[in-house]
Amino acid sequence: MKPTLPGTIGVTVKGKGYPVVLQRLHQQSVVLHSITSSGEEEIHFYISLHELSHIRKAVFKTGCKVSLKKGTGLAYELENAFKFRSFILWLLIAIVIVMASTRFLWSVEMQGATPEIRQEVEIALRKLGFTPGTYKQSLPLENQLSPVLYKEVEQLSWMGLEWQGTKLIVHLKEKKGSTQTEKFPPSHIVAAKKGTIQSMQIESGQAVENVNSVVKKGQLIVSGLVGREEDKKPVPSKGVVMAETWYEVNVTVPDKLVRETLTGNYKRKWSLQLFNWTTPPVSFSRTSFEEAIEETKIDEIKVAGVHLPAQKKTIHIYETERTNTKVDRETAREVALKVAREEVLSLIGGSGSIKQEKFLHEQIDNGKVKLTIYFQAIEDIAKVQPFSEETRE
Amino acid sequence: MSRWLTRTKHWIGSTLQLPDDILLDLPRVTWIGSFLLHIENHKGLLKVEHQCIVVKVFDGLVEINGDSLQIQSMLQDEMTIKGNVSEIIYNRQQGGEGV
Repeated sequence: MKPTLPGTIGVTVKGKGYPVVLQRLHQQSVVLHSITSSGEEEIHFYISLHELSHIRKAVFKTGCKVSLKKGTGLAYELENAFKFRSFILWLLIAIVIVMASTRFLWSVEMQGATPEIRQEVEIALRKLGFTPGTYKQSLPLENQLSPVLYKEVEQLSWMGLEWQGTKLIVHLKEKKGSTQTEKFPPSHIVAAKKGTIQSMQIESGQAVENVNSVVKKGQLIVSGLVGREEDKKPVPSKGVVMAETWYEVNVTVPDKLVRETLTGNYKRKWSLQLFNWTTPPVSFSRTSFEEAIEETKIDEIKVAGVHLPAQKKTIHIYETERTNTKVDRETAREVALKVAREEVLSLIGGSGSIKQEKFLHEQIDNGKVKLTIYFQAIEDIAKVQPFSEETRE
Repeated sequence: MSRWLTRTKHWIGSTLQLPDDILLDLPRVTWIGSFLLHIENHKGLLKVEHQCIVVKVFDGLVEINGDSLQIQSMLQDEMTIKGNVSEIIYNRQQGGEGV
């Protein structure tokens, strides 16, 4: 009989003096199990592992021989688990687990379309059973799935499934096109600015003005009423009207420029931020700068993929230098022109361009150069103005 | 334990009508069927063989004869013996601790 206590070891004591050994063990109040005689003047018993050290003291000077047999219990099970044969077994178990887990769906990824559609499809898919951890074979096929999805999600025009191992990638395409333009109300196109029309591209509507005619702000260029005099039909006008426009820009440039430049020297300070409390910044360099700019960066601290509540705060301090430069007339003009050009371009929008530029006036006053620049630009002046049925008459 | 102390304890036990095994450190042997033997208040083992086990007690030796005997467990003052026990011999020796 083998007691299966955690960490038990079998001990064989051989020799004439074995009663003495037993006596000493008894005095040490060591618990023994399954004491049997295993031969002439030989006994065998089990002892728990942590009391094994008593044996040596007990056997001392009795002339007995002690041999230990491999025991049973948790301690030995653990030892076994790290042997080569068990290693192979664990390896096989791991392979089986991995192979088995590839038969399940672990994640669903959406690609394409707008986030709203993706969200809708995700909810619809979840309803159909596409949740992580389901068996792949039990999921509906693509040709069964797609009609259901098209019905559920109105904006969806096409979907495709792609398996990438245990990951399902759903490719989506949303509906685009005519459905939205129908919603536009009937409208005219009027001039947004005063200008000379250079070219017109009208998609819908009836042009009223011609190329090279000068229009004022708010003047009708394209009419949304199409047809003969008797029965005119209201349509939403659409088109691009490129026209020549004029701008006058006043720019003031100081004749002295103060520039701040980085010298390239910098130092760093670190501090730790815990909730709202910040430790004083620590730096390893002792240099100090007369003029400097600071830049603060806060990094999350991550340990094994888990965010800690603490943050690392790094302060970069860059040394700067102030330089005074006198601006001559030529540079002032260049700077002014650049600034003015940018301003005009921001006014005329993306499709416009500057055709011509000219300095109208120049004046130096109180250490400042005042410039007036004239610009001739080409831009889209079409402005859609909706009208209702009643105002037609 | 000297002899007069044992005698005094005996005398006190008999006058106060107390059971002897409480006053003295006497063994208590429980024999269940023929296969299990429970010995309390033992003082250690002297011999372990298949046919014979000798247990030391307060005032002598207890010799257990039988077949395929083994000691299931040995605690501080309790012992369980398994096997076909056929006889138990109580060898009383004067003075208790003498052996």
